[in-house]
Amino acid sequence: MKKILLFIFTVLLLTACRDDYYEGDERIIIEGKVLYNNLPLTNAEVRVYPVYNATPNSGIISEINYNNPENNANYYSDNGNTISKTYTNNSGIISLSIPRNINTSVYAIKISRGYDSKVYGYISHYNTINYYVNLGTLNY
Amino acid sequence: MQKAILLLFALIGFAGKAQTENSKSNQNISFVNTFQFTIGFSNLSPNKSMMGDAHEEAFPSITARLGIFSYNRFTIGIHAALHRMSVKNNKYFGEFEKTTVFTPGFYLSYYQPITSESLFEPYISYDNSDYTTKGYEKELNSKSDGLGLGLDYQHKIGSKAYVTFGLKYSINKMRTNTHPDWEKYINNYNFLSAKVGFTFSKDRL
Repeated sequence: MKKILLFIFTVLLLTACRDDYYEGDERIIIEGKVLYNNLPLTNAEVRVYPVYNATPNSGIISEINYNNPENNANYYSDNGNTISKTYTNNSGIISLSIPRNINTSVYAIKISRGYDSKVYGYISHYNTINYYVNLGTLNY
Repeated sequence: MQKAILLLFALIGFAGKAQTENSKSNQNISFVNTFQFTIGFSNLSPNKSMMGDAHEEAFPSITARLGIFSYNRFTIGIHAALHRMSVKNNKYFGEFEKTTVFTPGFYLSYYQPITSESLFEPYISYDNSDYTTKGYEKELNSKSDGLGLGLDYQHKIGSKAYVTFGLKYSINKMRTNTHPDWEKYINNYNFLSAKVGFTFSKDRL
């Protein structure tokens, strides 16, 4: 009996781990540019990940500040796993695509330079037009 | 799925019976007289595309096909293929580790003897592919429709057995909605497959 309970508990524990599920029926193209001190930020790591509990109310994409959530009415947390990763090129350009997450249409962008990183958000239906998002110029 | 399998078995059973009944009356028509099983490489020389850029060559690629209806040298049948590819570039595809591809479909072939012990068998196929990509606690499911253009060389090694070498070029269209400027790169996915295996067939050479 103990073995059965242990087995059931193990199965429940494993199934409780959250996976991110995507469908390939849609692909959103994301493009933009990153500046640092008014110069292109080159070879910076760029990650896009789903955000499950944010409800953005506009298409403006700006830095999300952990410590001052009031600056961004939609304080983010509970982020999923990185869906797409790339690096800025010599002109600071970002270009990548993401499939459709079945549980959310909101995504955040994390840009890392060395050990520093900043999060920008949100990609949502407000700024996705014809499966395309132009991030504009992000000042790091 | 169960209905499809039941239908397949019913069709095979019916075809087998029909073959027995028809074998004496008309030698040009036969049912379920060809089976092929091969192993090989897939995703070779892919075109410039999201799927092609993202994935390594696949080995092993396992394929099987069953001729359902044959008339003279023409055969219509069903086929299935299975292969798995590692993800090597996740820039546009996404951050994953491996993609498993299952491809059932139909084919039409025509064999042409070239010697008393060998033949060529060109064929076209409809390929309906399901892609399941996993890795880093994520799963992605995709689909594509494809046209396959293939050529098999078969050399007789027994009364009904042939060793088979084949090449196939697959022209796939991913079922993905995306920005029009990117549609070609995201959706057009073509690649070459190479295989070796065995074909079992009656009344060919």
